Amino acid sequence: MSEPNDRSFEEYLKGESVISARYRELPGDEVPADLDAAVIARARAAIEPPAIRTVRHSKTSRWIRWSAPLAAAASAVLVVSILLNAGPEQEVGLQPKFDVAPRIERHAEAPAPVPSVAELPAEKVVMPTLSPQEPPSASIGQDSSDASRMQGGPAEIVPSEPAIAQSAPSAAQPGTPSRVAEARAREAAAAARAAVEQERRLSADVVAQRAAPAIAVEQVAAPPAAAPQLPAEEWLERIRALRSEGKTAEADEQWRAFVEAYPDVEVSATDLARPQQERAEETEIEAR
Amino acid sequence: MDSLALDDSALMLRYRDGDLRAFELLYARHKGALYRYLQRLTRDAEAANDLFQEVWGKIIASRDRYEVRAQFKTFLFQIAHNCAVDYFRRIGRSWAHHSADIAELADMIPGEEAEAPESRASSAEVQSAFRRALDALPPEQRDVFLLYEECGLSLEEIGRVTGVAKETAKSRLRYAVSKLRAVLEPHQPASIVS
Repeated sequence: MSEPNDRSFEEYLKGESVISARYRELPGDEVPADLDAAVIARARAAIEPPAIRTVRHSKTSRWIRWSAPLAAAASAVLVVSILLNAGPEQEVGLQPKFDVAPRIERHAEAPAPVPSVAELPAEKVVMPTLSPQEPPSASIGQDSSDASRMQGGPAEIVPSEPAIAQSAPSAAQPGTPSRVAEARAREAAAAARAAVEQERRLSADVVAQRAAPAIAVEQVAAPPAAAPQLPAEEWLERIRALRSEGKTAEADEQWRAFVEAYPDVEVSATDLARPQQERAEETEIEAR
Repeated sequence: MDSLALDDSALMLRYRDGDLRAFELLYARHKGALYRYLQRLTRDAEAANDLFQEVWGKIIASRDRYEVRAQFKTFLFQIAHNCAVDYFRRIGRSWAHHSADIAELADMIPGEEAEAPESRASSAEVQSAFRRALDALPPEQRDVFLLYEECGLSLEEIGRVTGVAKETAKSRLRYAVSKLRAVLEPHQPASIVS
């Protein structure tokens, strides 16, 4: 093959060659319609997914935007429902918070020096007062003398009788809301228990006339009333009357309730209110 | 602004921003040249269809990374060239130029002495001969010739697309033109063929 002709090639580059003309005369291959459709569909699909992602993103951000208020609302509903279900017990549970305030005032009124930081832990180890009316935190009401006793030495368990004496008047303070609520709750509970007891007693009387032995077992097994219904002396008188009327089972039940309600009231060993068996045992013991 | 008045790069940028109409215009402008380039380079209609979709698929996929550094046409045919090279590798045909190809082509092209004026063929026969001569070119020369004639790229752009120096591209084109002229000369008056 001969060397390419540079002159003719330069003419070709200028566009004056028959080569270009012949090439343009070649039958044109056109793009098939299905190929066009496939490419356009691909181009369309490529720009559609971002739109879907945007929608998803906006849904996600909307959820994120609302999640915090929804969580707060759900928490509020939960707290309110718990408080409503708790009722008066919740108020009793909050009582120590109100008890602390007057004693802090007493500390402020006292001329004793303010305890140092090192004294503060000593107050925490003071034995809580075992009083049914006072919560364990009542021992915090100790005078600063207690704290000064703990100064420089190991933690020491201190009985807190003064706390009882101090807490008693504070419980009687009329302005304390927790006290009022507690008293109301107790009154309501006592009234409810009395009503239940009364109803139970009446129904027991009716049933006793039909099946005395079975009711006797029931009455023995029945839990006694926890709260006092009558003054001690009046209650004892009633029990004695029941025994004199021959209603031994009812008298025994009333006696057990009385003992539970007034554990500190001394009743003579030979008192007629006592069950006959107890009286016999006491008499025997005294005889010995 | 009318999309028809926009240049290729502006259309590509608009498509990048989600304008499908811009892509349709861009596609309409270049689909014919690209299709013929692939058909005549591969000489296989089915392979050309696959490569055509592959090239446009890469254009679509690269829309987010597209930057206006050169003409869109250069960008398009660079992708097409690379896809074609991969295709020739896949089918086991070397893209590299072999001297044997040149020798075969030289044997195939008839000399001036072999063709008498009275035996000049009709226009259809010339066209067919030209087509056969084009198909017989080595792929690298056919590639350069097609990029120059079909795609309208300059020698510098062809060098950039094919990854060679401008002079190398020019040399390949010179060989291709010389072979094609040799096919046409017996069928054309001496004053026309240049």
